[in-house]
Amino acid sequence: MTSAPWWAALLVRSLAPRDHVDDVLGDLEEAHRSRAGRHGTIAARALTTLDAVDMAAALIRSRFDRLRTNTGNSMIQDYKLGLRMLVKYPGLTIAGGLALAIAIGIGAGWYDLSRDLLHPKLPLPNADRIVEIEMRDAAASGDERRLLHDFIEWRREIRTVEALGAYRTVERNLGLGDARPEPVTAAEITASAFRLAAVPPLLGRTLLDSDEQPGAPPVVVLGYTVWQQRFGGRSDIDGQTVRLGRTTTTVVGVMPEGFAFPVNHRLWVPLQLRASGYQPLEGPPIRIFGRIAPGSTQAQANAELVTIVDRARAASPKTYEHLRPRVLAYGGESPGDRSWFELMLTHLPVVLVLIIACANVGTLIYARTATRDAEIAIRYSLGASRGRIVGQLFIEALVLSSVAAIAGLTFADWALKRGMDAYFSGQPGGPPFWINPGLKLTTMLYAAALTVIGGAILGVLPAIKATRSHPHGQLRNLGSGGSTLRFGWIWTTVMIGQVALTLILLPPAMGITQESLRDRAIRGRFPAGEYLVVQIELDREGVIDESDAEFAARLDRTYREFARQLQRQPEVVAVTFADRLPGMGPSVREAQVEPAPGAEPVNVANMWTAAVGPQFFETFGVPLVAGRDFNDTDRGTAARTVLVNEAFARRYMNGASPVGRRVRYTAANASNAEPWFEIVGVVRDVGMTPTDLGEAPYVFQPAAPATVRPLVMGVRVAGGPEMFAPRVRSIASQLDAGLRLDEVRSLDDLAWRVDLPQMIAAAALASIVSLGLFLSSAGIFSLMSVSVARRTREIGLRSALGASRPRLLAGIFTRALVLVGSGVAAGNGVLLLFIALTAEVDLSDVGGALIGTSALMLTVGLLGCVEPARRALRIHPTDALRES
Amino acid sequence: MTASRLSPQPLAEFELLVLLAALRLGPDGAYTVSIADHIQQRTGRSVRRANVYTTLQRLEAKRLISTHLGDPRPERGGKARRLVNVRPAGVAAVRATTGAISAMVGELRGVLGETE
Repeated sequence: MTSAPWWAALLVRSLAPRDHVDDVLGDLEEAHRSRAGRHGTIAARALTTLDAVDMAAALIRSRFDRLRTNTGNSMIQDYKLGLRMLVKYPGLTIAGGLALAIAIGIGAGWYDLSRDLLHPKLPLPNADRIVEIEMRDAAASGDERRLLHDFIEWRREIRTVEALGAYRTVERNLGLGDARPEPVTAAEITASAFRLAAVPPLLGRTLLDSDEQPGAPPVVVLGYTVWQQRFGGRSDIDGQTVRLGRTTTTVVGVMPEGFAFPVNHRLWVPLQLRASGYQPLEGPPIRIFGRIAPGSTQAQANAELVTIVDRARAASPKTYEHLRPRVLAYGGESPGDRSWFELMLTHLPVVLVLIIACANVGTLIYARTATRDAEIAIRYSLGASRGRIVGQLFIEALVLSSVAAIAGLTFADWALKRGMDAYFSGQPGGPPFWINPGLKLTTMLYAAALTVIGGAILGVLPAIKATRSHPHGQLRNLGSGGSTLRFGWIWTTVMIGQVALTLILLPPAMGITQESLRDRAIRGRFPAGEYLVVQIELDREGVIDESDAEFAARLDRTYREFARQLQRQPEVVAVTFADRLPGMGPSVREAQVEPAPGAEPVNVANMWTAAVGPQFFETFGVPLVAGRDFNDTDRGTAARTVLVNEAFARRYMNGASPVGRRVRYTAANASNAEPWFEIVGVVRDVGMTPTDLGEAPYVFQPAAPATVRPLVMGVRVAGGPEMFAPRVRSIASQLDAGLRLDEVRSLDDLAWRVDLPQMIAAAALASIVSLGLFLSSAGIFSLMSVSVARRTREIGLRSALGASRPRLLAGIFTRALVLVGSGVAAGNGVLLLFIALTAEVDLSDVGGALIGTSALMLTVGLLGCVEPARRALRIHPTDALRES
Repeated sequence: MTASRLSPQPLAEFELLVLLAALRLGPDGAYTVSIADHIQQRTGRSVRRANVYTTLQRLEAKRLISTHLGDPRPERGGKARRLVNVRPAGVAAVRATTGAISAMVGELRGVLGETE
């Protein structure tokens, strides 16, 4: 009797499910014998071989189907279990979820922000070909923007860039009819901008090349927001005349919603250039843009531009000696600006935060895994594969990190939108048009990747460790009432590192918080709520058709009249001006002080200065304590007099009166020092700027309205300054349509905005440190819980043999003390090393803080032991003996 | 209550043939080889045993049949057969599918000619 070929049987046997091997092989055998009877042995062998191959393919398909069904079902089960774990372990869910949410939120937020800032996607056709051209001044390490001359040359010569255009941002008052004019940010721009953007107008037309010609009738294109807000979306606006500054201008078109090219502009007027041209570096600063011509590349454009500027340098070597042109991607970084390594470095802090969070949460999850020792051992011994258990623990961790990711992303989205609003609220026009605050799809995908990585670190590592030992050993140990898992050196090191890191962050967090609170307290003593801050600007008609002297005279007249009219208002107590008011931050200059007649001058690296107008000190209630106040003669160009504050006298005069002594400003090169100024009086410390603390030496210079930039008025108002603000605007608009009020708000509000970044930084750092303290405590709690669980039998036996409670407790707390003590020692070591390396910090100044923070960390660590210790003391000796 | 209890599951053509063969051969005679032979004899088409095997697996997953191992048999080298028993749900599925075919065919007697 013939049998099925052995290879056919082997193939089928190797692929058939264990419980189907017999019948599948039986079928093969029966079919083969049947064939042999009909076709003969040789033919039967061939046919059976083909049959076996066919069967093998079917068996493989069947295996895959079964695997897919089983995996799907078990994954659903794992997800359900993961959700149950979140509820069952609320402490871990809150602590771990919070840490992960912060890490993933920061990661996603930073990724989103970096893409917006470094690699924005312009919502314009052919956006990747739009470029900006800048001229780098290698000597000044800055950009040279007075490029009207070069722009005209480049527009004529360059072939690799088309639609070459230029713009400058100007502030103008915009009004229609009798309505009060309001300031608006406008772009004086070439008509080529609209050809480059290729966005059709909503109404009318865009700017034309003919509008740029000198003498062409003034025209304006309105942005959608301006059209809606200022003109109520009137459909007949096209052809209407409006007042733009002091010029009557015709509206020729309205752009659609969202259009804000070149940056954040909502109003466009033609950039009219002088027919006679410009000398190199003459005229106002401008920005230049264009589009790479078809068939050209950015590198080719760069090379062509360099060649053109090289020619200009040959003609005017002195002017162009340090000027280097560059073609850049518009709005962001160009390819090659940063190396791959540098790009990766920008994401390093975020990855570090994620690793720290994962390390923290990992200790908690590891401790939870330890408490589930029995479950894992039983599943293991019942036949679950190691991969299956690791997969289950990974999905549990993934559920936690996913929930955290949702919370983190929600927060990041909110923070980005609010942060962008806050950041751009102080800037005219708001954010650039390519910045779209809020998270995008790519950011969500990035966060999803972070979530999976986080889940893998948190779930897989503890799971591999938990399943490393043989299940029999685990089961045997369970019978004796203890966990087999140990907190190995990795987790112990992580814990020590975490304690050290928290300790390192504590002093700066406490410092900045203390400083922030103190600043607010100092601010609180100053009656900032009585003052209105008004920053004023006067429109300069055209590009250069008014000389500087004429403009200065007009500004002086306008300011004096404005101040006179304000002073006539019954609520106004006093009016003054300066380049900065108290609370707006100082201007810092390098200076030399002459402590005594003929003595060697003392160099001062950071002299705080302010240029102040008449009645400045009276307006702010700062009394004169020696000498005299400024008079009109002091405001002349030839006069060289200054006032100083008491801090100046204390610091440099050893208590002697500084009146009659001299001070002068210095540049980096001492030979360029300005002439000496004579000190004619001393005033009390103002005290509104928190950072001076009455210790910052101030030098006040006399100033006239035409020479001060910015020109900031301080108006002391009886009653609420905000109530008075509309009247200030009304007076200004009646006085001169070109008088623009860029900022009208109370000094209180202004000071709050100045302080806000520091307060946010303080709150963020305090939150991070609080979270660090909380996680350290939770980590120590986890560690001690595992330790006590492992030593149940030992503690019970020791208790049965007569060990006292204090002795048992000492054993538990000693371990925690060693652990936290190691972290505290490591943290202090790093801090001391830092102090030793940086001469600016004195150990005696921070010694108290180090001791305080060390004590705090130890206390937190010991608090984490309280509950595990309580559990240990609850172990009854008889229970421990019975289990053993 | 599951959907299968509410309405019989629709059957693919080969599934129907396998179920009909299993019903014809009965619980003591229906197994992969006999079902394949039976379909081949009655329909004249070539039937691959592998297809019968995977179809039986699918029908078992749908809970239309159940299987069990019979006694070891010498003609199979001492191996047992995996015998097929059609469950009531399988019978209902066969009835629904053939009923639908009959209904459709009934309307086309004029075109197709007498089929019975």
